[in-house]
Amino acid sequence: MLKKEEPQDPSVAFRYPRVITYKHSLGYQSKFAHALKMGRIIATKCPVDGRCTIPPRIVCPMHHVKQTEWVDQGQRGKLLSAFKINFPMFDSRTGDLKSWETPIVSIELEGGARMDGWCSETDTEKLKPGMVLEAVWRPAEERQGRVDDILYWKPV
Amino acid sequence: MARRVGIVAVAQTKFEEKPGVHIGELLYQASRDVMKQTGLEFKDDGTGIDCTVASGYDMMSGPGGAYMFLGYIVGAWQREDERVIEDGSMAVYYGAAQILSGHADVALVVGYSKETQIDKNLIECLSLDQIYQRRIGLDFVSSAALQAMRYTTKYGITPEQLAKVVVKARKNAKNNPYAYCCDSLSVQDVLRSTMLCDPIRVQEAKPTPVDGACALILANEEKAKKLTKKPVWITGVSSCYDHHELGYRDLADCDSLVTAASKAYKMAGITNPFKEFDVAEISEHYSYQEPLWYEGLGLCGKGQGGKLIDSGKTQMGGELPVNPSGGVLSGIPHCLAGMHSVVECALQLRGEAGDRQVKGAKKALAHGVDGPAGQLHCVITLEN
Repeated sequence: MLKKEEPQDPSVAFRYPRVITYKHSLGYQSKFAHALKMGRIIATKCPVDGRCTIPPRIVCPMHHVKQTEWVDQGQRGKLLSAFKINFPMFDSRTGDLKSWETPIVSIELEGGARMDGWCSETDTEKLKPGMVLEAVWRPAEERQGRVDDILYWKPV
Repeated sequence: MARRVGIVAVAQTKFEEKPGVHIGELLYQASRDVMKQTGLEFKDDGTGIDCTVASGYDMMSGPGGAYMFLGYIVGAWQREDERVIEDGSMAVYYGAAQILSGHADVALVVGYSKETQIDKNLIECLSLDQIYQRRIGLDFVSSAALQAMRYTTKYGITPEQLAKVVVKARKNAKNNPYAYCCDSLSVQDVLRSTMLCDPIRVQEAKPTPVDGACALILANEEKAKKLTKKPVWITGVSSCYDHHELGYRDLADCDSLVTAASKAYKMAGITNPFKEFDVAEISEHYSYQEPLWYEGLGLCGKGQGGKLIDSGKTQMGGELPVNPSGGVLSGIPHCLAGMHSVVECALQLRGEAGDRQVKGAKKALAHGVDGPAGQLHCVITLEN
């Protein structure tokens, strides 16, 4: 039994930092990564309706048929939507809190597939649906086959 | 059971290290296989598959949702899609419940595991109590070692008896084209292998990392009879959780398995499991678990598991062959073991188990386990 004079303990909390390293296999999507390294954006194409998808899929998400054809999506696309975060958010790449200076945009590429990325235009008032954006890449020697090999999209 | 649930198709991938394979490819291979066997797709008119049930740990897969790919892989977007974050046997249980309740007529049950993505022990460590157990480094292997020591000491189970479990598993795995490890081992080979976590030796633990996937289609009685000439009926199913905290239990026994088994047997009308079952697939992640689970499943008395191993009655050709597939000790990934047990039992009851077939099998026992030192057990009884 606790002695009467012992103080009431405040609630205790432990920090539990833990680093977890995953090794995600891209499998059939490796082709997409290799193309990024070369400064190209490619997408899988549905044999039923010709719709292109990014992320590339082994089967069409709509028609559930195997997709084997890859189509170049070009370097430009039309803006579908954009947003800017006005408070610090977690950087999903590192887990650190970060203030995001650049808006995130959703784009329909010339080849028809849709993908997301950052935009060089920080004034969201100037970002209008339908405007054309172009990919700006990391230098070739720095590319790792990841979607952030595209540094940002800039208005044309 | 008032209504019956039939297994109408089963599939599994080869179990091996697949470091270059995307999760979606694993799922595609297993799920397409069962969909092809039945000709079923997801349809709106009530003639196809109604829902999916999947099992697995999100933390093992890395993505926030282990099955974020499932919708497009099986063609099930805009459908009911349930998750069971436990062993795969629990997904079969949940799928059966969906059908028994009348909520669904046909369910696709899938599971995958990709141990090459992550250190399995790290994730299992995160499954333990964050304040008391993780701080001292307990994970599933070390919890198992504590249980092995307690069990073997209390009942006098010998290292040789446990080594025989491994020898049997690897010998059986030779007949299973899907098995990962099927090397010939002697009792001495096992006893001479490196100590992994005293008293468990390397050869007495589930090989890791291993990747693979399983899939089943479950249907209500009416549809099952139309979909296949060889339905396998789920006659009993139950699960039970014990205390998470190891110190709250006597690790020499497995009370939650006793409860799960007795409830499943009652549902199925099984009164003498050792005599009534023709084949069993039991999830033994470590050698000591097979005799201990024998006891919990009522295949022998308390402390008699070692003697049952010695008797040879659970070998192929014995009265009750256990793990003709080679079981988990031949390399079935975490989270998938219990679903794999059901798949293998279904193959046995359909007479489609190839070189590992138990002739004339009519009744089968499938078992899944999860949590530290067998905290959760799921028992599923099957008939043809």
